[in-house]
Amino acid sequence: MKRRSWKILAAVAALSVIAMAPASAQDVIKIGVTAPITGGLSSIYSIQGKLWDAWTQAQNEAGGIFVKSLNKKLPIKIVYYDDKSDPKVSVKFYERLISEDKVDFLMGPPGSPIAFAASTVAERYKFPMIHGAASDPQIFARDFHYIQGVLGPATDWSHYFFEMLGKEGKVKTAALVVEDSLYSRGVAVGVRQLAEKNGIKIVVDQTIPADNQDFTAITSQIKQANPDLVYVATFPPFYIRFAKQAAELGLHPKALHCSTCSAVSVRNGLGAEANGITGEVFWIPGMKLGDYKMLERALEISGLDPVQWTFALISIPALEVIRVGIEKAGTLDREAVYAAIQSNEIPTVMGTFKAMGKGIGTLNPLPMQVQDGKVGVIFPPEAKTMDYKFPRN
Amino acid sequence: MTAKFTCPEVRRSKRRSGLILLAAAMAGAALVPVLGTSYHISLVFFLFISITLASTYDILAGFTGYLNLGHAAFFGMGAYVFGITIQAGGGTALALVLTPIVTVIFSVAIAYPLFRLRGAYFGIATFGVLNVMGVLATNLRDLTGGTTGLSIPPTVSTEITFYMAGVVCFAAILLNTWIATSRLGLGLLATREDEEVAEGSGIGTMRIKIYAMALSAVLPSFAGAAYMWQTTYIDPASGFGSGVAFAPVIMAMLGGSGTVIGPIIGAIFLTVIEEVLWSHVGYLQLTMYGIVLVCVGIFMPGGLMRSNYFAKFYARIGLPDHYGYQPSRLLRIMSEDSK
Repeated sequence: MKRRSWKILAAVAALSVIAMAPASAQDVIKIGVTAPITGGLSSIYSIQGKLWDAWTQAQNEAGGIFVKSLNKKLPIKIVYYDDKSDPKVSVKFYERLISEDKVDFLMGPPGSPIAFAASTVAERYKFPMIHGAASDPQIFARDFHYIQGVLGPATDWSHYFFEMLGKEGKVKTAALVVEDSLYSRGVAVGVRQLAEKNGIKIVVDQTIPADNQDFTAITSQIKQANPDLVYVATFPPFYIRFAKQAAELGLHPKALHCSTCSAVSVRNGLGAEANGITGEVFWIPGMKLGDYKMLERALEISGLDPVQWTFALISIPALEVIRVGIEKAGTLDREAVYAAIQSNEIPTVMGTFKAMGKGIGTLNPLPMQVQDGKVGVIFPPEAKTMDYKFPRN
Repeated sequence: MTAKFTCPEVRRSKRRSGLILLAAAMAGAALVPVLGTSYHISLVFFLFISITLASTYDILAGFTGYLNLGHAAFFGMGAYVFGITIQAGGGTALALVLTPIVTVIFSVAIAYPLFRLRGAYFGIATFGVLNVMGVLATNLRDLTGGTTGLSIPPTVSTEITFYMAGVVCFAAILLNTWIATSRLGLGLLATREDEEVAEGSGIGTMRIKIYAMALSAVLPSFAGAAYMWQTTYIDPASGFGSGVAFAPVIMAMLGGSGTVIGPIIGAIFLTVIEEVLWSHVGYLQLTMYGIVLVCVGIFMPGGLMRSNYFAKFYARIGLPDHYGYQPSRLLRIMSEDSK
């Protein structure tokens, strides 16, 4: 009886040791993120989860990420939730990603207002968060240590476009129409500086509520000023409302630019009126930067049109930055990976990323134009796939 | 009416059981920071905020029948006043003092003109007030940050804001319970049943409606302050948007408007449903969310608290009527008592 008790005790002790031992060596790298799959920002990001699933599959088909300290490649898993374009929902889910899902790394949510709130969670828990699609300077002006964006500041958003206009010298005057939102106001600050730097005079400068439905007054004002360029700092719903009404009221500027509209949404929304309009694009087929084959494979798996969902693609460089950070650090230690991210130049499908301090990155979109239904990059010379047409019609 | 319901001793005993149940639930919730993860803290924190908004919304809607669609304005104002005071260097203590004062003054100021309207007109006007607040928050840039939003440094632990929201939530439920059994509640119910008759019976309906509006504004302002303190960021959409405006209305109606427990059940039900759908359903969560709401509306038209399932449970644990039934029943009980 006594011997039996000892056996039982020994078995219990052995089981306890097994139970208390650290979990078996890590077998997957988890990256956590929320996205506005529904809600106000869904016109740009609704397919974000589908893209991440496809990118993960493409990455894992290639074996995953090599971790030197483990001497093996580990597959990736992206744990994501729909934040409904609501900052407080995003905050709640980031708490969940850290404490329940126990992710290894965090990617910031797309959308500046959401990123603004969610980044406080990263700072509170000292958990590095790499932002793909948030670039408003206000986010990075708080001296947070644990947030790093891959994009340049929103004020640099259109710098390639204005550099091109400056070199061509055809555009002398511009009207600036700004949707009253955190991100678009940031873009507009940059547009004012870039226009002045490139010799373009802004003759109309109006900020309009995001839910505005009647553009008669601003259209009349622009018609009267007759600028060469109308630059609209906004997202597709606002832009399409504006551009449709402007065309109906007889405003056909020589150049019409939307800061954050995909060419497909503009083509679908405006029909023939979309011809010649310009905008920004992050990646289109034919750009051969970074590990572009991985992105092409992800797009093949997902069946997504990169021209239509160009702004959802902004998260891919953020994932690449995390991947290269892990490889450079050779470990899954968050601080070490974060240090590697901040101290290395990292090639991505949209150019080379470099941390510029205060959480600001270096990537910027490239200007594109719609010409007879086709979409191409128009600047800089090393990336352009078509010549800029001015005037547009 | 049975003797069981008219006996004051039995009612007192039931009231005690209700308070004991409430205290037990809050004590359980208080253990979340000790036993749960940061996600649980965050989840229950937002649940506290939702319960506070739904319960205080129901002070007007449930007891007087006036649908205040701008109730969220008190929450948004609380968040902004707290944030602006902190940003101006006023400190947390001053911010916590100013938040309810400014909000109550605002609620009283808008109450008089608004209560000259009734029915749908009142609802539309209150929604208009909310929109005006949103426009002001957008345009008073130097004060509110406009669409850029207002942020404060993250200097406080989530546990502190959790307990703050918990206390505010507990106070909201107690306030509803007190109103349900007070002379004020009786006056409000009489106003709801027939305002002219109530006025003719000597009840100062305008005065008590303004009291109710002011009472319903205090705790949401603290909830807004707790929200601001925890998330450290507020923008016009988060403070005065339609999402935050309709949530308490839906929660109260879904749980059972005009009851103490109804808004609580509605808030818990919606939070749980949202959490399950948003965590586990990839793309059809909004569709499923809508289907759940439609089903509840069709099969439980008086709200969850008035469904047979809840009524049986409710009878078993022995809560007093106003916790789960229509307050008009309280009116009958009290009028029988007075005979």
